[in-house]
Amino acid sequence: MKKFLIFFLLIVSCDPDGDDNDFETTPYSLIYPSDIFPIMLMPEDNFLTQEGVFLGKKLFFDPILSSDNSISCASCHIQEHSFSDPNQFSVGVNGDLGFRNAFSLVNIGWNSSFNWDGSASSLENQVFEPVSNPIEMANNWQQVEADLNASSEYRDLFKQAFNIDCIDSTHVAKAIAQFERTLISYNSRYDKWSRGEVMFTNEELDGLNIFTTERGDCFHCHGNINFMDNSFHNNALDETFSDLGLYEVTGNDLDKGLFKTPTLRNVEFSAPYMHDGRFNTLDEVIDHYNSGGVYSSTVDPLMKYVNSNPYGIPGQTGLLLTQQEKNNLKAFLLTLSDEEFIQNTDFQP
Amino acid sequence: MASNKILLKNKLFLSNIFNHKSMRAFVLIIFSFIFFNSCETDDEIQIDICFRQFVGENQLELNNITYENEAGNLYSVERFLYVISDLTLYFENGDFMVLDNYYFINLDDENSLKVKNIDIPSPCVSVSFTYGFPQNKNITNLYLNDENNFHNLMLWPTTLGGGYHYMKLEGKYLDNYGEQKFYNTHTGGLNGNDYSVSYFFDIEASEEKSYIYIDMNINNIYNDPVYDFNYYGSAIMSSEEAQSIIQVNVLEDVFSVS
Repeated sequence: MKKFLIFFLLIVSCDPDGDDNDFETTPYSLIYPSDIFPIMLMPEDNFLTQEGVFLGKKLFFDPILSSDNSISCASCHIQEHSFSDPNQFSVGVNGDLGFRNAFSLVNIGWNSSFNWDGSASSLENQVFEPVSNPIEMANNWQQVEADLNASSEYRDLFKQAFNIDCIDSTHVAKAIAQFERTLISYNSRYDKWSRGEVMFTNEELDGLNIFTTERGDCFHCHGNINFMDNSFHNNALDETFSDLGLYEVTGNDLDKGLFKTPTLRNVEFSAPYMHDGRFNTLDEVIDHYNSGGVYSSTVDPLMKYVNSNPYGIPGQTGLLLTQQEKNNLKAFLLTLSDEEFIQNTDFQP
Repeated sequence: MASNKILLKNKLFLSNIFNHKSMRAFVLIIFSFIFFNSCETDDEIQIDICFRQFVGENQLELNNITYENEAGNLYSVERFLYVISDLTLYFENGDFMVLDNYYFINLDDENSLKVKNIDIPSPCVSVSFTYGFPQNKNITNLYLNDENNFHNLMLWPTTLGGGYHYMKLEGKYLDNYGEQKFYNTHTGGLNGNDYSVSYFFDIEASEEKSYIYIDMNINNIYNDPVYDFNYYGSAIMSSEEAQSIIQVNVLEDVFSVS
């Protein structure tokens, strides 16, 4: 009742538009090598500011967004795990389990769609979903707005970041999206090798060759500087689908079993793997691809060596990499680890 | 009889108008305006360029193993992306027009199949273009920030020479044992070689022409010389032999313009 009263008073007293006079923010410059990374696109009404990023970080780590104040964004997107969850499925406020593994947020700002099924078209849109999802934060946005408006600290921070007197969900989403766009990794061993700062071992070099040729054919989906293609694929995990993936968004039969390609940056830290977290180790992932995977009606033609009938002979098709080649591929994947990112204090509360 | 009455009424109306001096001047101005404007419209020609894909005489149909090449392989097409660069139009009046740097045709993106509303100064008599990129424009990261996810979808690994794919043609074929297998006919500048192909086509010039069709016959990618899926296998990005044979095939009779 008390919460309701506060909410009511705020609704009545909130003046949504702030005073434009003397409103100034400090631009936030993202640092990354612009000759090899694309320009990070962002909404025209949400360019990064120091104030917005600061506020977004505070919100990201604050359990105030959840219905019982028990979990925050950071509960399932943990920095040491490259802002993903080491559990197969994340635990929501009521102890409920999700059904997909939490997506890693490293270099998330270069994605053009979000969630494994592409259900959000921007980072700002993505923020809305987990707050109200009954198996995640199980809250409602009116309550979140009321709780935030009841905080003088948050009212000040939103005023500084967006010049608003009345906190609303749109600006909460904007702030968190700003912070998430700063989660950039460009100092892995691979990056240093690319810049000529370190030498790869022979194993890593062979792994790179396997990765970037059709020996392993990882590059068609994970080929650019962010090691993802901003696209969706059925990577031959299942013959039938318990999770329809992109189809849930598009309704197109050809999209059944397709999921968004995740980045491989920091893949060492972001276990478990796949949309449902079915693989606990990189060895299991490599074994899956080496086997060729299994056929289904929407399997991607890039999965050239599926090994279930009528597509090939189990054990005789697949990539057929030797154990040494698989080790080399893994050695290359480990070069994508960025310890500085994992320990970066700018990303901590 | 009724139409004659209307005609007579109109004649009377016009004669009444021209009996008034000021009204006459006004009508002359209006007619002059219409006349000059229509002259201007006659001088401008607007065309669309359509990229179409056929197998033999028939428009490409995705996801059916119904096509057969000269090697006797039955195959389907599931995904098709390719690059046309340096597209240039030549006109009857001697002018020419170089269009955008390149066009990225992706059958998953209907908007990529047509270039709309190109203003041209006189009827088009010839068209030239390059399939893929010529070597000086096939440089890794040159198109890093381009639209339609081009960089991510078409990047060609530096391990294999760098630059970008010219074409990604993917689907299934039936092998010698009747088993279905996937094929990825991906072409590009393997090992720094230039496998792009340049064309020049004369077309019938006409002021009435509102479309230029740049057509591909996909089956001819695998014909003359014969390209056998069983021999080249599912993956050809590292095969200079396969890249060369497809280049020869593309050069001969894959593209046509009308």
